[in-house]
Amino acid sequence: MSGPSMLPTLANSGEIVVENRWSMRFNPESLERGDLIILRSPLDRTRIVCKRVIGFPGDVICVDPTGEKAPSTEHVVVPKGHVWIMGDNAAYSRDSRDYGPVSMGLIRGKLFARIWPPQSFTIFRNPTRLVD
Amino acid sequence: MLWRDVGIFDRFSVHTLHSFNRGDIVALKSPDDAKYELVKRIVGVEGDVVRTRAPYPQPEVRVPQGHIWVEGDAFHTRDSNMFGPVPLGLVDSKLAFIIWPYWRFGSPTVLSSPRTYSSVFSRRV
Repeated sequence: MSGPSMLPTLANSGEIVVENRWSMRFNPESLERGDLIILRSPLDRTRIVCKRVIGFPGDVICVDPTGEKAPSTEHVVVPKGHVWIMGDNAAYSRDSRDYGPVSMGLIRGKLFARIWPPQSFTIFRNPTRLVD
Repeated sequence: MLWRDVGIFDRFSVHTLHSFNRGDIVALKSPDDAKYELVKRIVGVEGDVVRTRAPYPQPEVRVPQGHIWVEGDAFHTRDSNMFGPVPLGLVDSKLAFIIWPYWRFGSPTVLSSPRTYSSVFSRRV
């Protein structure tokens, strides 16, 4: 893994993670909001990026609550077959706020666990809670 | 290309060589529903300005970075005029060879009647 866009969940460099490709291929319904996913970049098909799923098809998403990349009142509806993704380090991440919702066909797999460095071994769990 | 044609698709030039040209026929995952694969022709690559057909809302659109504009050869077709430019990551393979029907055996050629296409301006920026 490399890059600061997923701090603090994933460090800038020096980490090795394990990706789960089968659950998306055989059971694509298992994706949930808040999962970490690996996908091909919509801007460059040779790059693989890791982001978090924020919105599903049909969801109304506030594009950027901080107001940096879009006025904070701007909302979009995620179209069918697409997801809205965001990096955990919002200040330093190119994600759906820049290139819009991404097609689910670009998703390669889900992030399963971090295995290096050994002292920070973690199995990634979905940290989101539904607030009614 | 019609239904019940048989062809050989080439995944190597897509996944290893990353070579995409206007006029290629490619198989790509549908952007609306990743379960379905569509076979369409690449009409515009990134940087091209494409003149669109109904039902696309804008008359002209510039294909963004990393995307392509695909269109089907037939009149009644679900293609980029419905869902817009598609990211290259959705393309799975390129048609290299048609095997059946035998009178169209060989590499797929450019469509002979250009009236079924939208015109493409290529202004590389």
